[in-house]
Amino acid sequence: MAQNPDSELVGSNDQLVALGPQPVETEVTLAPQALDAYAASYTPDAVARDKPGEPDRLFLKLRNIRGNQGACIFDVAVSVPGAAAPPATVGSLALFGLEYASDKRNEHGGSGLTKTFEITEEVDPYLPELKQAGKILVDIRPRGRLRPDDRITVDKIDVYRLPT
Amino acid sequence: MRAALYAVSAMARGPLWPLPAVSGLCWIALAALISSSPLIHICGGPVRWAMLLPYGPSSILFPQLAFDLLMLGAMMSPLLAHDLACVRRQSLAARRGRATALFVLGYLTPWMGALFCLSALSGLLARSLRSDLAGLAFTLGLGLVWQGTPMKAMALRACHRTPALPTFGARAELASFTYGLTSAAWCVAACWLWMLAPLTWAAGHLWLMLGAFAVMLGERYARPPQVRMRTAWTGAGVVVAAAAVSVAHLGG
Repeated sequence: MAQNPDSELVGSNDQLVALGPQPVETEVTLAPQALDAYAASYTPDAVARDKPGEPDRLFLKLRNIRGNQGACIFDVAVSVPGAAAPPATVGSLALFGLEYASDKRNEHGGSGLTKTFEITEEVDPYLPELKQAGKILVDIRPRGRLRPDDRITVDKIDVYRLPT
Repeated sequence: MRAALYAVSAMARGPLWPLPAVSGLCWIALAALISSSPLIHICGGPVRWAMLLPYGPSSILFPQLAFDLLMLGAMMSPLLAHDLACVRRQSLAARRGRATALFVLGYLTPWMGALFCLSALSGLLARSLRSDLAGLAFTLGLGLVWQGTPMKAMALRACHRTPALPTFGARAELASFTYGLTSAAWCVAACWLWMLAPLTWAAGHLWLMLGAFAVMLGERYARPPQVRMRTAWTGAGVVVAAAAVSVAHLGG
């Protein structure tokens, strides 16, 4: 039980997302106080190339992914409402072991899988838009085909900041 | 047990250090209470059964509640690291303290109810078996039976479940509380017989508590057992329980 870095929850979509054959978009609402703290980390010193240190990093966390189809991959992209940029892919969601992780009789009581992606580079060019919107859009689209009886859900999508 | 000791030492060195600290303080308070008060008025034996009777002395209720709280603080605090870390990581910084308090409140509620029922059950055992030691042996037999059932393994696995808790609004507050309730409910399901054992024998209460604490700590941080029937455990449990009943009735 090593000590975790002191990350802080910034926001969440607060709803279950059902993944399927069609792309899904969900909105992660950011808490104003936490968003201000993130924006405040962009000090002149933190962004200067010739000085040590950097602004806070942002992470997207997909919690408790459960389902019956582990042999599929989803691409995860994020965008900031109001930003003049298409959704930027932050990574792929490979769900190997999903069926086992979803089984209530397993060692973790069927909590499912949890996946984390860093989204700092995709979000920080749009900090002014982010502060105005207070939201991040998350787009999850399948790569390949899913059968009609494939069920995959994500309990919740969080955004965390990691002070550096 | 090695994993449990490592977990406790990591807790003591990390941000969750209040958990082992609370546990240690509660153990000291329990030891002081037991050494300064007549034990029979606090825990164990037929006196606890008396509180359910209409003419039962209500004056013993308060020390019992205090004792139950100390007992939970001593034995359960180090078992909460995973749950509390889950609550705190999934809460906004502004409501971390409140989320923790709501979780603890939710956790204590079923446990206090369960301890009340276990106390009454220990009194019932003492009355029907007419001996504290027979009651203890019977409880240990039941404990072995329960240990061998798939339900026990299921309960231990459910204790490792990590829910996704809402972040905003009243739903977040409610979820912190209900997570405490469900977490405690699975904990009661996994540990109730080990918690019953110290209540059955007043003279050895503290030592039995320490034993039960070691077992629960080991179970909480070890890999949970497979979900299957263990006939050797249940068979041994039935024999021990039957022997306790026979000896009690022969002796009576």
